[in-house]
Amino acid sequence: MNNIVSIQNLAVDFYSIDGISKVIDGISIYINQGEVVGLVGETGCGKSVTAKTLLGILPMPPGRIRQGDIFFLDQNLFNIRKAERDVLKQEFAYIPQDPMTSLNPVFTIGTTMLDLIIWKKSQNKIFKYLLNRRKRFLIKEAMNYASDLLEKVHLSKPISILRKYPIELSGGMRQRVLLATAMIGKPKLFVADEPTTALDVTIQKGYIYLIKENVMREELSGLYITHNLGVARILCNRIYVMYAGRIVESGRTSELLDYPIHPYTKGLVNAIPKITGEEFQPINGHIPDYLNPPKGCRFHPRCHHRMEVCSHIAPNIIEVKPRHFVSCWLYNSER
Amino acid sequence: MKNENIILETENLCKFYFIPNKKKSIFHNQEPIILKALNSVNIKISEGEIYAVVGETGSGKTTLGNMVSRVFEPTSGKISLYGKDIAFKQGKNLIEVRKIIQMVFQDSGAALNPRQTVEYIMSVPLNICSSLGKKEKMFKIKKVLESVDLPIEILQCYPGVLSGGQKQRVNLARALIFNPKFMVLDEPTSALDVSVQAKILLLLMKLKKEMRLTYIFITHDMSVVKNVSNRVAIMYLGRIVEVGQTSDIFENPIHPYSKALLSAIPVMTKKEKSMLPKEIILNGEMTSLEDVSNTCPFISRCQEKKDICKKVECPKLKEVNNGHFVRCILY
Amino acid sequence: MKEKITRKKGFKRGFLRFSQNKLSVIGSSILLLITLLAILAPWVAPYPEDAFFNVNFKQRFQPPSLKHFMGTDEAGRDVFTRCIYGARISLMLAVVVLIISVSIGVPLGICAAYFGGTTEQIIMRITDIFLSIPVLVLAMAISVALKPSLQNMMLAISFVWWRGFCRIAYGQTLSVKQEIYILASKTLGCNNSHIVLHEILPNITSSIIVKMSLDAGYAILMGTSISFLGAGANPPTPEWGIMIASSRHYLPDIWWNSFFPGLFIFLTVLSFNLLGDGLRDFFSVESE
Repeated sequence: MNNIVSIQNLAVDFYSIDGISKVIDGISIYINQGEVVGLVGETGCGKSVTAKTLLGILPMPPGRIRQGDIFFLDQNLFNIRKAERDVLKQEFAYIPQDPMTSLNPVFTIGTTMLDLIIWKKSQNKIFKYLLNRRKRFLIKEAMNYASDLLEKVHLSKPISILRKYPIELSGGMRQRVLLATAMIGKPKLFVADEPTTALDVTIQKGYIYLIKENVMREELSGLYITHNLGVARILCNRIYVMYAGRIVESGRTSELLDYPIHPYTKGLVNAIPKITGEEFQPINGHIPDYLNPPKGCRFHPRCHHRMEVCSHIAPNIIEVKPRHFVSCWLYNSER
Repeated sequence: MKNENIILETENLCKFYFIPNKKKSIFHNQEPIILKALNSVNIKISEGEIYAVVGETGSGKTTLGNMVSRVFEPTSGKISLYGKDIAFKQGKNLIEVRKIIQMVFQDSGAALNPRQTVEYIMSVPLNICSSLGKKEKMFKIKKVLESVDLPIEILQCYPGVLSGGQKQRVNLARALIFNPKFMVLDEPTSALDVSVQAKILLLLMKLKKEMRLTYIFITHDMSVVKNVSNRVAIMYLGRIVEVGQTSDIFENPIHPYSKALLSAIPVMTKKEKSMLPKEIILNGEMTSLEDVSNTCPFISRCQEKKDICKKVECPKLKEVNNGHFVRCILY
Repeated sequence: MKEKITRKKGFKRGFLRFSQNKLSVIGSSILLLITLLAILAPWVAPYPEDAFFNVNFKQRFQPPSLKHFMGTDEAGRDVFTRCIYGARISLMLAVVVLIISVSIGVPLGICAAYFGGTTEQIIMRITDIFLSIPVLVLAMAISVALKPSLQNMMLAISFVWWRGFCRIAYGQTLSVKQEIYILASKTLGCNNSHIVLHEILPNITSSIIVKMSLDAGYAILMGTSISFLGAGANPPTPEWGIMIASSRHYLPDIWWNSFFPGLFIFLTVLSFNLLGDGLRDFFSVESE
């Protein structure tokens, strides 16, 4: 089992006129070959920031990486030169959240995909790219490749879709196009940032199964960010639960959702209305202010089980059950 | 069906949009394209119930909410509120209607003017519907803020600094200032996080009890529907395809679209999974509102369709069980 | 547990953001200095009698020295004093032109966008007509028809300056009109005047104010150009344009009479531009 990605002790700060926001504070995530890892949490917990730091697209002022390493294919992304990093980044694919605004509205789908395919072929060199753009046979090859990809995402009549503008497609179709675009160049890792938030329920279902199919066929690994635990259940092999910039619990999906351990995870699971009609209860309080986060465990102001130690020292992550990790003093004997 | 004090009833409610036909050349007859956002919708709502309207984008659920709360005027049909037809009222009569039925919009952030403080936002409805003194206005505003669990300090804030849950509560408070009997809630929790959603839902239940409200709850989240509503209407392409008691619909969904919708809910626990119909993945997308011929709207995606479905006109809603209506020729 | 309410009403954050932009701070300081000089002119100017009618031929064309900070002109008048008094005239021009243009242009633009239909067509076509009139040519025309004077120049500029404000108010109102909070207000039962004054206007004010500050600079530039061509203020008014025009012939030996008014024009227009940038930052914070 080799790690495709290993994020170790990452900490990211944001500088603003109000001060320094400690948005991510020491998280460690690893993704193995062939597995889809879910990053679950609510708005403001730092999941998108994590994804953007991994992809290297976080705006660096005001953001700043305080500490930590990100290993991709056993190479530390922070220690290598920019040129080598760019080559490695070719293996990433990003599926953004909002299909409405993620495609350039003035270009047809075909032009967008063509551009990317030829760029990947030109291995990041601008002159090569400009030359390649003119070669007829390359363009034809690229168009065939693009329509192949569109077929793989189950879009009917791919040739006519290539000629359309994004505004002529519905949200679900656009999201599939984004998935196809992400598959250009056979990446090793995809990072999906809540891709189904803007979709209807039935379309969402189809899309999730599509991702599953692609993952299995191309042997992809993936980081899937969501706040919907039901979707995470279907798609992810393992889940990391994030709260206020820290990982509070992680483990295999079925184990974690059926038997949650951390008070926050339990609170989340209890707050979701269920078909069974069981009572649902909100979690009291609100997410902390990152300028002045609570000392010790960041969840302690909202926790029913808080103890003295929780407000002073942040708990370590320990393995409570086989491959089920929690960061909570309730389960940590070394108080 | 029990005729328990029906306070809102619509009859053949239609909303059509006329779009100029640009596809043909200027030399052809320029008949405009008709978009039937709502196509002959009939609903009956009793006092004190929570009536959920479910559907996907393009089904017409938001349009139905807009019609009933008179945000826009319908094209034709009747809307009876407490026996009086409010469909085409204007001017002063319309303001009287607004005091009884209020709408809470879907995008809570966009529904608040970013350049107005919360205090001003709350005082606008007060200035319209009554002529109270300054002190009495403040008192009323404070009372409403208390009922939605917002601190007084929020009056000095601009909407831009509020969280999602707070914005939603300001919207609720603004609607409640009128002391309405009837609220149309358009996806009140869709944009919110899970824990905030739970808070808002519980708040809505509390308000309903305290102020004896009736809700039309528009949503696409079936889990919320199961927990919150008494009756639910499922819409597709501007028509209601199934309506009945919530428990009935969940135990025994009849229309093929209802079955597909229920099977698509991403549930978390195995127990819930066992309560839902088997996996049905629908092909294609919802057909555009333009292409509506007079047959069943669900024909293109139905997995149970038979030959007879194409030949017959769109079926009417038929009572299958006590209070459970379905629009399908096969049942 | 009580929820935290952050950032109440107030301009503190706006000022903070404004002060972070070093260029705008510099620009506003320069503008403030010029304005103060202009307001306090009779007390600050070293030779206030030189502002208008005094002549002192014995002292003509003195280069800049300790006695005459910026030298003297062809009539022996102190250039520094005349520049300060010129600032009065130009700033007053900017204020008058802006007040008239905004009072005419903004209401027209809002009405055109809000009511639509025939009203919109009529107003916008009239605006188009005015947009095709070059201000300079019109000023010349007016000065031929009436006497060339400062008042007539202000009239000429105001006559066409409102078109820009009409356009911007129109565009902004169109985009604000579609927002949901306008629909929400209508649903609550607000009448048109309330919606225009209290819902739409506060949202377009920021762009109008930014445009005002940029336009102030351009109006001053236009005014000095018209005076330079002789269609505006008359000598011996200490207007920057006239000062440059009248000393054109003596360049490059007698440079101070053209250079210093030019410097004032440059600094004033530049500082208005920098102020405009800063104001944009100031207003963007409020909606955060």
